[in-house]
Amino acid sequence: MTDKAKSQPTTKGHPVLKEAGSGSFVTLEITGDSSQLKVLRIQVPRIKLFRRFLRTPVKVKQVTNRAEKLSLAAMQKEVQELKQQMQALMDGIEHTQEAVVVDLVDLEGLTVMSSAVAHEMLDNPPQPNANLQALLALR
Amino acid sequence: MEFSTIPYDRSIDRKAFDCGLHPALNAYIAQQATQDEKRNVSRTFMLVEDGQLLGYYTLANASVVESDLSEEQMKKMPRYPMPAVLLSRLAVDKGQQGKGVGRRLMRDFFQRVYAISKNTGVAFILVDAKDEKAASYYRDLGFVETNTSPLRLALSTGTIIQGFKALETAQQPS
Repeated sequence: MTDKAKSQPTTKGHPVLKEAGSGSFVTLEITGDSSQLKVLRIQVPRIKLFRRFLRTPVKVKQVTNRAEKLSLAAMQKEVQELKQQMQALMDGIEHTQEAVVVDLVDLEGLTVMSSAVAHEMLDNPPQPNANLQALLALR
Repeated sequence: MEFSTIPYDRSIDRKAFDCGLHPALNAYIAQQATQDEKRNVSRTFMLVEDGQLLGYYTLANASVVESDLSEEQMKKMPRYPMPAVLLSRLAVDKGQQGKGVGRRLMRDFFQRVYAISKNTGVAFILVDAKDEKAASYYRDLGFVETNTSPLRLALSTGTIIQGFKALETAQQPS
């Protein structure tokens, strides 16, 4: 995996979690590098503005309330689990990429076709349609 | 009169050629085709009348690989790409458009692929459509889109072989 892929956030959007103590919403910024996982707090004043707030996340503030500290600890545990899942996913992706390179050597410059379509065309080539047959019959 | 193309001839005036649609096709025949011929990268065939270039097409070898192969399919398929012939360019001078010249160039191309397929393996015929209108024309002939691009389309060579064999059978004296 490239450094760029590791450092950039995923394009699938951020998961939104509701914090137990305060009831506020938090989100996770997930990148290819699991050590870079960030917890971001968001506020949702009105449902219409929700999407805009998702795009401009706010940094987590230091918490002082005990209830908030506890919920944060639970969340950190959850984050740890997510990190592990992310790492497992990343390992899987790297393994798959390796397999593709081994199997196809180099995809650049090649035309890629769905195997189902390619097999059908090779095993049962369709009869020329009327347009094609008329063109082939030209003199 | 039998319609036929001639192999690329650099003595033909190519600078006056203008397809009126894609400057890249004019630039290719005027500037690049000689190099590609010399280096055996591709072959160009020209339709010439009274010394004037009316149209041309370029073909080259290409390869097709399959995506999403299952383990079972992988066992059956060769571990190398499948051979194909690529129609990379086809252009008609704007003064000749609407007269069936493009269709006849296509027919000439298919005839050539049919001949090649008797001597070497050609699994697919590929075309690079320059725009959606051209892609639609190819789809009407039975070409299907590939995963590479909506403008890179493919036809089974078996389809062309069936078509020409049917014509040959029909022309045989009974």
